[in-house]
Amino acid sequence: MKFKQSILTCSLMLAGLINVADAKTTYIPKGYSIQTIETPKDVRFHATGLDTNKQGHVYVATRFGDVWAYKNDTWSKFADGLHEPTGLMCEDDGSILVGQKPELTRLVDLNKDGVADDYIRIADGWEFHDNYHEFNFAPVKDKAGNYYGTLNLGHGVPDALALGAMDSGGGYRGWAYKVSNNGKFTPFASGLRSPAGLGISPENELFFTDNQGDWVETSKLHLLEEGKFYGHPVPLRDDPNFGLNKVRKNKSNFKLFDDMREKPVVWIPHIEVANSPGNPEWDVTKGKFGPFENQIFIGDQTQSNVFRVMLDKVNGKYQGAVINFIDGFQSGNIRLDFDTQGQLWVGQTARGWGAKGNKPFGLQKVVWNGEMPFELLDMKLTKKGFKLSFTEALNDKTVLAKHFKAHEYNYNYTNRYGSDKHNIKDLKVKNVTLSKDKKSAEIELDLTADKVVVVDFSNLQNSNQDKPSVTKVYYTLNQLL
Amino acid sequence: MNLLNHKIVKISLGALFSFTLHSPLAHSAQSEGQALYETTCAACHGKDLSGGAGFNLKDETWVHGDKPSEILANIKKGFGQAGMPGFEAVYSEQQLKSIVDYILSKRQGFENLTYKIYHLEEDAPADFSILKDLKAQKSGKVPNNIIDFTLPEVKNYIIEFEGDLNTPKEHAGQIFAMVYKELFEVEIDGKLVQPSQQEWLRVAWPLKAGKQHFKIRYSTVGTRQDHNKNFNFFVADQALTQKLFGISTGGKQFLNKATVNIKAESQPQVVRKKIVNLPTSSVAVGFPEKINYAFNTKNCSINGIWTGDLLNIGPNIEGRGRDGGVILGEWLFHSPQAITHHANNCVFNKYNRQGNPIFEYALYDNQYSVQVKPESSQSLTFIYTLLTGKSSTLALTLPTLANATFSSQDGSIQSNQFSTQAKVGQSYAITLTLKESK
Repeated sequence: MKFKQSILTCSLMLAGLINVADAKTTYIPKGYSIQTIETPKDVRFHATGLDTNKQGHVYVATRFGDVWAYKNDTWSKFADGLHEPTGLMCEDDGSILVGQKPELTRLVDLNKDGVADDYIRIADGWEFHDNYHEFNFAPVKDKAGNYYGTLNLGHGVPDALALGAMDSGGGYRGWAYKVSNNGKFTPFASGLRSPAGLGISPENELFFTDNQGDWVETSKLHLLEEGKFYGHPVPLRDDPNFGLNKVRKNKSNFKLFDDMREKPVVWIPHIEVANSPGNPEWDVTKGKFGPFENQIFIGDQTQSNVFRVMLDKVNGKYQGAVINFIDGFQSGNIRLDFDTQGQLWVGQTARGWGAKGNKPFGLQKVVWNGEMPFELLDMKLTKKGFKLSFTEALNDKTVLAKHFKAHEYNYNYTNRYGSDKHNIKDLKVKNVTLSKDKKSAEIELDLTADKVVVVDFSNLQNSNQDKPSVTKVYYTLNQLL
Repeated sequence: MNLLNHKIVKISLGALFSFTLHSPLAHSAQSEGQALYETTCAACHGKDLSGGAGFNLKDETWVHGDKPSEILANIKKGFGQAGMPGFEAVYSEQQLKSIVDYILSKRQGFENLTYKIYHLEEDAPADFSILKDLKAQKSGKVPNNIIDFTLPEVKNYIIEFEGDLNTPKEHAGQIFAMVYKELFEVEIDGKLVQPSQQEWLRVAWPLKAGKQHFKIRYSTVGTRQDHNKNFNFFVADQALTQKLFGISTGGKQFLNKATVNIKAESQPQVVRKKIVNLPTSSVAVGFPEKINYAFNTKNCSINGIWTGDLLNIGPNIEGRGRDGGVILGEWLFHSPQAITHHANNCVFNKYNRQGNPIFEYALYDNQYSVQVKPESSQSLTFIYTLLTGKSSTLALTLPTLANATFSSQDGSIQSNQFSTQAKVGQSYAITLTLKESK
C-alpha cells in the first residue's frame, strides 16, 4: 500500500491559550547545543510519540495521527489515520507500537515496503468517551515483555465523576495498565491525573510523571508499582475495594486520600522547573551525552525546557532532586529519547496547551560536543545535610557556607488546582566541607522530612572561575537518613 | 467553507447545463424548490448551499441583496460575466419563487446586524443596567453581518450587537462561546436569556429554533485589558456536540482553521477520530468512489455509511480537539443503525491496509473478516469471510433504510435479517444499493 499525502491546507495551529513568546535559551551547559530537525513539509508534525531503533532510525507519532520514519535524513510516512497517538515504541522485530486514544496498536510492515500494513489491536480494555483529554500514554516494555500505559482522566465527560477539574466516566480513566506478555490487559495502579510521561529505568523499574492540577499540588515523578494509589481520588470509582459512592462520600476527606497515596520520588516545582512534564528518559549512553550517566532527563511541554532528576535511595525508597538543564526550545517538549549515538531527541507540540517556545510543533535534538560542562552532577542526602557533587573541581575559595542559600517548604494536598508553597523557611547552612578531589561539597543544615529543600549555590565557581549554568536545585525530602 | 466577504464568482457552465430539465423529483415529499435547487443550482452552489464555484447561499453575506425580490431577479437575469446564466426562460415564475423560498429557508446567521459602543469610566460597575444612563458614542450597521467584538478602540466600554439571527428551523440550538470570566448579556426576542452553561471556555445560551431577534452585550468591566477580544461565538446544536456556524469574526476564523478535509483521492483512506454521529472506537474508511463506511472495533459492526467525501477532521484536531469530525456528504445511516452480528461478544483483532482494508475479529471460537468493496458511488458490497473455527450460521441484522436496499445471493434476507450457513474459508457477499442509482 502506498500513501498519497492528503491534501491539507497548511495552516498554523493555535499556539494555545496562554500568551506565547519567542523562547530564549537562558541556561545551557557548556558543550551542549540544540539542533532543529526539518519536519515534512505541510505536515502537522506534533511529535507526541518518539523512539529510535537499534539502527538509529527515528520514528515519530503525531497528534494528527501519522507515524513517520526518519532514515538517512529523509522522512517517509509509515502509517496514518490513528487517533491522536501520544506514545510510540520501536520493537526489535521492526514493528511499531503506538498508544492511540482508543487502543494500543501494533503496526507491522508485512511486505517491507516501508509502510505499515497490519494495524493490530494489542489492548483496548479501558473506556474512551471520545473526550479530548482522555489520552493513552503508551507503551513502555519491561524485561519480561509486558507492556504498560497510563490513561489520562477526562475533562467535561458527560455524567462523569469530578471532584475538581478532571473527571472520570469510568473504565479505568486515571489508571496505569499492564498488558502481559500473553496479551492480557490488567488495571495496574490508580490515582493518576494527567500522567503524560511513562518510562522504565535500566533496572526495570517503572516511573511516571503527572501534571499539576486538581489533587496534584505540583507536577511530580513517581515510581509506578502495582496496586498503588497515586493521589487523584476520581479513578477509585473503578477500584472494587472503593467504588463510586465511597469516593463521593469522601470527596472532602483529604486526609483519607493523603494517607492512602504514594509519595512522589520528586516534586517538580511549578513554573520554576515544569508545568506539564513528559516522559522520564534515562541517560544510558555510556558517556556519549556527557557526565550525567544514568540520570533521568524530562522535557516540559509548557516551559519548553529539559530538566534532570537525580535519584537518591534513602532507607530503601527513592527520593531525589530536580534541576533545570536547558531551556529555549522552539515548542513544547513532550517526548525525549536518546539514540544510539547519544543524541537526545525532543518531540514537541503546543496545540491546545501553549508553550514558551512559539512554534506549534517540531522536533529538535540536544547534542554534546565532548566539552566538559561545569554543573551540579549529583545531590545525595547525608546524616547532617546534603552532599553536592560537581562535574569539575570547585574553586575552594568559593566553597563557603554562606555561598549555599537554602530554604524549605511543602505543599497542601486538596482538590484545588495546584498548591501554593507553604511553611517556607530559610535554612541556615552551618558548615561546608570540600572533598579531597574538590568535586564534592557536604553541607550541614537542620532538615525535616516531607519538605522540598531548595539549595542555591550561585556563588560557586570552578578553577577557571566559571559558574554553573543552573545554580538552584530542589530536593524532595520524603525521609531523613 | 467560504467565510470571506470577497467571494470570487466562478461557475462551471458545463455543470450548470448538465441538469435534466424535466427529471422527476427525487422524493415527492421534498419541496419543489428543493428539488429544483438540487438539480439546477447545487452543482455550483453546493448541495448544502455552502458554495463551491458559486457563492455560499446560506451565510450572512449577500453581495447582490438578500431580499426575496432581489434574489428572484438575480436568478432570472443571472450574472453572465461571472458565468451564471439567467433562468427566466427556463422556469415559471412560481418555480423560481419556490427556489428563492428554499434558499431563504436555509439561511444561517445574522440579518440587519447593528452595533452600539458605549464608553465607560475606569470604575464602572459590572452591570448592564448602567446603559440606560449612557449614550452610545458610536453606532451603525455591520455590513457583513458578523459580530466583531474588537470594533471599539477604547479601553473601557460596552458594545451591543442587535440583529435577526437565523438558526436551524428543525431544532433549537444554543449559542456557544469559547469565553471565560467575561461579562456578557444575551436577549432573545426582547427577553433576557440566562446561560445554560458557564464552564471554562464553554459558555452557552439556549436559542429558539428558526429566526429570532437577538441582542448581545459585552462589557470590559472585570476583565484584563490584554485579553484578546476576538471572542469565538457560534451557533451550535442543542447538545453542544457540533459548532454549526460562526457568528463572530473569531468564531468564523476558528471554524475556518478547523476545516481539514480528508478525502480518498486515489485509494482508500482510513481515519480514527471522534466523529459526530458515530460512537467511540469507530474506524472510518473512505473510497475514491465517494462512498464511505465506519467499522466499530468494540462491536465489530458497520455503524455508518455515507456518500460524498470522507471527513472534515478539523474540529477534532483544532485547539484541544474537543469536537467531533464531520462527514463531507450525506448519511445513508449511522449508529445506532448498523450491520451487526447477532452475537455481541466480538473481539476485534486488526485491520489490514494492503489495498482495500480488511477488518478481522473473533466471535466465540470463530475468526471472521469483513471487507467492504465499493461498486460505485451508490453501491457497496460487504464480504464476510469465516476465516477459522467451525462452520456455523452467519447471522447479521441489517438497518432499515428507506432509500437503499440490501441483496445477497449468498444467503437469505428477510425482515432485515441476513442469514446463511457459513463454511470455513468461504466468503459471503451482501450488496447495498442506493435507490437513486439506476
